[in-house]
Amino acid sequence: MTHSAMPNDADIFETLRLELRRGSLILAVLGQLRGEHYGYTLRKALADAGVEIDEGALYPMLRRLEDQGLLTSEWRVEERRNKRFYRLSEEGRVVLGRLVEEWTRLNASVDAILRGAPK
Amino acid sequence: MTHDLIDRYLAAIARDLPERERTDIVAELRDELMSGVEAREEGLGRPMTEAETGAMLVEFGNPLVVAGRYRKTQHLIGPQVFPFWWAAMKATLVVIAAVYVILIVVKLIGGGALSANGLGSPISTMVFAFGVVTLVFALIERFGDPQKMARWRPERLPPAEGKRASRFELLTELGMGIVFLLWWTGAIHFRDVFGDIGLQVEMAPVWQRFFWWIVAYLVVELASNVVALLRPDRVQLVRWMVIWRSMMGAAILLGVIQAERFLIVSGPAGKAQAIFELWMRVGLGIAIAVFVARAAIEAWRLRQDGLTSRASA
Repeated sequence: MTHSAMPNDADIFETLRLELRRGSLILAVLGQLRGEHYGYTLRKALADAGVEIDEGALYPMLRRLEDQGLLTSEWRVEERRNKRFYRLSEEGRVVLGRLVEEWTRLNASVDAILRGAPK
Repeated sequence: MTHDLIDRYLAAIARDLPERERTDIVAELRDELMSGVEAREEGLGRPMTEAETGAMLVEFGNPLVVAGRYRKTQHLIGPQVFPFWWAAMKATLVVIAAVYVILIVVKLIGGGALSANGLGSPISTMVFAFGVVTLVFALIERFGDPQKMARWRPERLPPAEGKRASRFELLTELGMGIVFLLWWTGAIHFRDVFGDIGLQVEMAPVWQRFFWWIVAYLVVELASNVVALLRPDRVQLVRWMVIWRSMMGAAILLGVIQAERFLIVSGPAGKAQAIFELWMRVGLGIAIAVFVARAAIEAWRLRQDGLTSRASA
């Protein structure tokens, strides 16, 4: 009875983790698409690098990034099936560069805060 | 067999996708699923069973959720608009609740069957208002400019201290004002309020003489409440409006109280007329006193405000 009203620690952690990951996933996807990929291999490549992303989130994200002009795509037959290949556009390259700068700066700042002695 | 399940799954997703992109998205998802099946089957060294395919699809996600992620609109009212929706909703519901509480009180006092024509049941009115407010804010979310709505001016903030009516009070007054105005102008009727004891009560002609004065009073009252709600920084203006309307109320009732009769009561109870008239006269006297007191209080507060601001300046 007593524990039922308390929010679940695991739930809280999961929510915070998802929030933390959301922005970085876009960075990982854009970074990986400096080379050409179709959805399935992109997901595998990201997973191999240690960034798991589920299909349900990946495909809509790719579509959105393409709508925003950061990615280009084309349908091509490979391994007997029609596949949609994505790659970073010229504009995407510029935006990625700026995002990486921001990422590095933010990372350094957060790192400094976390490493610094608590005041 | 397993492909049949995937076909059905993709068809279910397709139904909820925008038509323009449907073929494209489904083709891409099919490739993703088939690549997954092939990789799994290669690992297993045998075709996947239907149960395994089913489990894979469950993992992939509910068709509605999968399709929903492709939609541009992901929420009816987003976090930027939500606080405004919430504030508007609270205000609307308080006004409606006030209106119905007054109607119920009138009904209890009267004891008879209340028929306020033109008003639905409290539940249906609340649900309807909820729908209208939500629709308006959903349209703002979709087509409006939430940034613009969030723009505000610090100088319009109400003073942190000083006696002011709370929002709840203002909304309740607004609700009461609306009921009264609707009743006075004939938009709603209270019938048979005293029907149970066989009395018929009508307003005496004196009220008719002051009809437009009373309408004007009610309009000023509603306006002062609306101003107080929307521009809580205009403390002075609101105080002047309250003083003005209270003086107006007192003046109207001073005119009314001169009359010989306020109500025309007809029915079997012979003495009722005299008793009603006495009650009314006492009631009107109290109302005049209340109006004058209200005007005096506001005038005093106006002076106090002036002193405080001069002191802090």
